[in-house]
Amino acid sequence: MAQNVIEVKKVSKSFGGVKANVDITMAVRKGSITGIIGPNGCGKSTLFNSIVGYHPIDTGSIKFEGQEISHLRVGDIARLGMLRTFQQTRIYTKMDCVDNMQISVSQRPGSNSTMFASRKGEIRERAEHLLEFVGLYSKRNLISGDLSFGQQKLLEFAMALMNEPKVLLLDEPTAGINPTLINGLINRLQRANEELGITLCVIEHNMRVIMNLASHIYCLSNGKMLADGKPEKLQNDPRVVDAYLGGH
Amino acid sequence: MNEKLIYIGLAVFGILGPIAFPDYIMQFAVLWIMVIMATTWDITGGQMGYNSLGNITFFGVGMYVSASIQVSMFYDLGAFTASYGAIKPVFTESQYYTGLALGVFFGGVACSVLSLLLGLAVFGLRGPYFAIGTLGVAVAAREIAGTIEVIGAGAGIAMPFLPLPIEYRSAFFYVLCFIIAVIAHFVIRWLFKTQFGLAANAIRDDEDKAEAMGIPTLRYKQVGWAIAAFFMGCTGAVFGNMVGYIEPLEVAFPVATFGIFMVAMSLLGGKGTLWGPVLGAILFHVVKEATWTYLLGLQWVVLGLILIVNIVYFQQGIMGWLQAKYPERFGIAVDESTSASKGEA
Repeated sequence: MAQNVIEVKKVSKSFGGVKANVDITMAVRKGSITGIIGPNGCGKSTLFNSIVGYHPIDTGSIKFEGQEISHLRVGDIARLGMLRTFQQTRIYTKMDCVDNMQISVSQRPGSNSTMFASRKGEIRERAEHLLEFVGLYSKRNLISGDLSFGQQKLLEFAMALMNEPKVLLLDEPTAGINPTLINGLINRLQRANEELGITLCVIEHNMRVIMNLASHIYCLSNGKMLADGKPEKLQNDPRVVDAYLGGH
Repeated sequence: MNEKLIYIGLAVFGILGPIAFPDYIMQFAVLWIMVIMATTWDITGGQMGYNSLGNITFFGVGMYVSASIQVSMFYDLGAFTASYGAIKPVFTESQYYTGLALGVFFGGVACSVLSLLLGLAVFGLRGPYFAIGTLGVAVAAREIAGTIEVIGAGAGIAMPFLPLPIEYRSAFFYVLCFIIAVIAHFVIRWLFKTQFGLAANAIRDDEDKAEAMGIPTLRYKQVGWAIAAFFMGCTGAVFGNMVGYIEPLEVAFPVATFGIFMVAMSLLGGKGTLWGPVLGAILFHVVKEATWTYLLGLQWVVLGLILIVNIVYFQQGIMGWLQAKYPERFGIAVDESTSASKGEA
């Protein structure tokens, strides 16, 4: 069996009286694309935030490559090689696209990014190639805040790739993107996974997207893990159908 | 290139200006000091979005550190200040210049070290809280300096005399100010061509995102402030010697004037740009001196008016406005090619 790169064991997190996550256990296999689904407010984003160290968890354990990370902060976890994108797209809005890309280089120890490194040469070339990969090359000199929402989303994805993470957690990558662009995005996600070897963990509401993309899906409901398994299995699971269509 | 013309123009002005108008040479020296203040303030203020109101702290600390070094290398500092100028020590030429060189350099170094320590505390604050916090630091520094007996407390320190004929005195300090301004400019110019510049802008645009991408933001903020502090310390050291007598309120820690001017100058010229603070400082100084000369009594009104117009109608400053109006001239344009590999597309 392939090695698990993320292992979440019995994680609970509450905000005041709201139990956002209760005893969540899940694992992400190295090199896979794993999906997380569930109705709004079921605790998907909270789980993401717990994994990347955005807030401390109440109980449980989170391991990244066998190392306990539940006590680490966001920056430390990012420097281990686990990145996330945001549901509300976040880019550096007053800088141009190339600059956005160039500052996203890996900050991991051993990577060749130093504080006073030159911006020419290899870094710039890679930035431009990745902008071409997401189809933003012609707009590379524009201020990123002037791009459309969908383009900003693509830029954020390209920035994450620039960082060469081991694991990338994507929070609703297709929300607010038009259907034509969605197909292109799915294709790029798959290529990033296959060609660059990046393990992906994706929160998604678009069932068509997630069923095509992921090899293993976890379904959350009311802060609890409801079911998990291959896409076909989940599609036919009455509990999952209930959670999405009936339930509340 | 446009920029070449700017450099030639500034060099001609910097070298020939004081020769052509020797009466204004001290004004020119102060002008370069203001340029240094505005450009170094912009490292954290404009480029990182950390609007410090306390950078003047380093001006004063550098001044006091330098004075202490200059005097105590050859005399007992405590006895010297306790005499309120009654002791008139004589410094030989070599004593004076060694003391001055070491004083200016270590005045800067001391400020860098201080800024690294202060940074640990104040960089936890954001937005207006950071501004108020740093303002508090400057006010505290001023009050503390006024209580330390060995540096003269409220009475201050009379600085050693420059061992040159009096007619060369102004020119000597002018040259020092000009040199520091030039070095500061080129250091900042280089700094913002490296990854550091991008990280600074990333922190300005979205610090949480920068942190989530693994950028060690605190370290960048500290380094940026330490560079600004170094130049402020050196400048303060030179200014102390130029004035000849230092005390906490007006000379070393002018919190409400120069401490605020440096922010106003950067905003006027366009914060977060290389040339904005330079332009802002020159304009500001010219307007300030003109109103002090021709509109005495109304000078603060005029300065206040400029500030209000600047902040209400013109927040991006002159350079920022130019960039918004003529984006193509700043390289902000759609490029029709769609491929990074040259020649294939």
